[in-house]
Amino acid sequence: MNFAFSDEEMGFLKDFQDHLAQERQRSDAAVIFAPHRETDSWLVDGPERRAFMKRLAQAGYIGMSWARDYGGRERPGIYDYLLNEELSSQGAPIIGKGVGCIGKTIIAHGSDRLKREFLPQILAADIEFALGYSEPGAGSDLASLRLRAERKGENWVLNGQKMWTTSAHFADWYWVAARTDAEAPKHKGISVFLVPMDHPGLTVTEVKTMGDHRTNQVFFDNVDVPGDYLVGEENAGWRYVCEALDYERFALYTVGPLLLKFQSLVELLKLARRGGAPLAADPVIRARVAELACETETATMLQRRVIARAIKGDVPTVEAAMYKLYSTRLGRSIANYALDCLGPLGLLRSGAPHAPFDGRWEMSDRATVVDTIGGGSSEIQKNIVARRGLGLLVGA
Amino acid sequence: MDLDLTEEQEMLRGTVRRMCESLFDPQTVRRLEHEDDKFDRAFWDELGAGGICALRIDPDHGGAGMGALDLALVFEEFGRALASSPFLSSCVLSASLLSRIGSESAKREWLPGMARGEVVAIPAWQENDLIGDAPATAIDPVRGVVNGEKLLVPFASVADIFLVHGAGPDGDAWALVPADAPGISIVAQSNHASQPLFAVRFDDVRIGAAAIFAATEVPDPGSEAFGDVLIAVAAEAVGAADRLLALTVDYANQRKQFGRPIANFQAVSHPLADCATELEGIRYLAYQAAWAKDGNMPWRHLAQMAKLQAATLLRRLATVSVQIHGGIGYSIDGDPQLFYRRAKHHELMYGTADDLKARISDHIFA
Repeated sequence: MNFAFSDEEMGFLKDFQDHLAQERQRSDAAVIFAPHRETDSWLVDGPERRAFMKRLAQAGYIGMSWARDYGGRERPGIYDYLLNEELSSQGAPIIGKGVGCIGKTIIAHGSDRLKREFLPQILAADIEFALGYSEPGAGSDLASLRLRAERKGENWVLNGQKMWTTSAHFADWYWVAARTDAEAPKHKGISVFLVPMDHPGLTVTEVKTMGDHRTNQVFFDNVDVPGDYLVGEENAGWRYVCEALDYERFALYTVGPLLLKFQSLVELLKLARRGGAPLAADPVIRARVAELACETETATMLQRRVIARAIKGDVPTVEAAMYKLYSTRLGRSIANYALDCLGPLGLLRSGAPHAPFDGRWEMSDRATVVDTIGGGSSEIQKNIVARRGLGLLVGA
Repeated sequence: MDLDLTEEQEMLRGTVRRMCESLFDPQTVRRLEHEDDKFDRAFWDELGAGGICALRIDPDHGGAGMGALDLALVFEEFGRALASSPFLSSCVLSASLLSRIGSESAKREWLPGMARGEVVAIPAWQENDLIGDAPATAIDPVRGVVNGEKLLVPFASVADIFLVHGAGPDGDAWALVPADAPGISIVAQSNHASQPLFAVRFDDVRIGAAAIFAATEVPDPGSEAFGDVLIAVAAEAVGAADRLLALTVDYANQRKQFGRPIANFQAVSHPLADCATELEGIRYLAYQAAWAKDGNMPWRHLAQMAKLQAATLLRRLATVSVQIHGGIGYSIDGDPQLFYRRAKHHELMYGTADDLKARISDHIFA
């Protein structure tokens, strides 16, 4: 048993940290390194962040685990993980779904034409993707999605609506799941398409959230898609959607942001004073912080289980569900407790005079709400743990 | 990053699991609760003969010098079977104390026997801390005499020697007291988890000055000697939780109400999923503490967190399990109550939640 990373892995990480230290010297660093944006800090959603990713690509950090035939470096998946752990710890955009589930699905199932068109652009960090799975009537029951795709000659025509497409307002391509066979059982009539985000038949409208995160609904009005842009086999889309966890088993499950959040809480309690003494001197607060410290360490252990399983080449389905369930709840608890410690002044938002820590925790309490909902709600994670982890005869 | 056990560790786990399964079945657990000594001699002899008692004792004194991680694996199995023995008191805490505070001759006299399981050495350090703050037990190093009363002393009725903590003229001291010395009286203390706990009185017990050592180790969860205890108790709680979770899952799958297994109801399955999640994290928290201790990395903070988390989880899971079992969970005939009562024992012994939280936060804000 060994809870540490190897010397080689640590050396790689050190080099990468040096690269990021250089990046932090730039005048646009505050836009690139922005942990206060919470979940949004992961997005490549502006010109500075795009340029940052291109520089990562030039330095050879994109596509570490891809096969050499496709321009990758054939390094073990742990290197993808180390990159994203460091990036997310510093609030920088992570190497996302292009290199991850989308690129890897194209490599595994896509036509030569799709590979030629997309893989080089992904490796160069030239394109960003939006993921179109959820719909107004298909949330936790994702396979019930109803966006229609009908064959019309060589093309497909898509009609319907997607919901919660976070990247729709800045992405270049839409990776979208649609129903290609309405008669088949729900898991067997879904296909995946690639649609240019600037297609005239697409209408993107903003959905505001209480966390200041922008997400979108996307309307499809006779969106014609050439047959070449159907990914892999017709009606095999659900399989590709499910395989995404396999492809993302390393890169998605970082613990850095949670550790940073806990450390920020500790700093807050050392700095903030009430009645002449730092909050950290209050024994009631200290006891609660001890609990949160234990939970943060427990979350780290759950995350290590995901990584350790992935290193062995297994798909850590239950491990990932456990980590997501536990860590997202903990992140919300930390934000909530920081506000409790700040008291009424904690209510003040960023920019308001006297807002403690410029409203960082006020924002965090709103922004972390999505963590237990998006990407498979806590209830869905519990179902996975109950059924696949424990063998409980659960219903749905 | 590799969270697998070595082949040797798998073998050790398998060996202890087989010992527990063959010698410590649920009937034994229940039978012992009603006995005076609450001590299973056959199981203890097997632990000694199998070399398990020697695990953490150094090879110079007849021990096997194995790691804290090995210790954690052994206690996980003890916890799974609810197997009780003087192991924690004798082979872990006494061995650790004696190794640190004892004279070389005392170590040579006692440690080899403890490593074989032939000598049961029991630390006696708890007093009624609700009425006084300094230990009322007096150790006179000049006359070599011990006076006082210790409470909650595990397995006192089968002890061969006691390691008694008390106040000497120049600060705290530990005294090695043979259990057959005149002036010792032992009375069982009826308790929540029906554990072998005793009050031990020392009335002018004469032991000689050579058996008295200055207390460089205090009996609390911040001390070096308690490190192994925290890891062992955490692992024991993890093992107990593991077993309790499995039997609760079985029950939820078999028990039918409203025409279907109650596991079908998310009000039943989701609390179990929550507990399973915490259990897996805390299992590795305990392993990590042991791994850090074995590797001479900072371990104390991790061990304190592991003990706090493991005992808290066992209690919560036991509450969930009793609730899911319903009336059977409350009944003495059901197994959940065995775990429920032991969970509280785990929480309160060897570092309460409040004590551990204070230490953990001291570390964080240091």
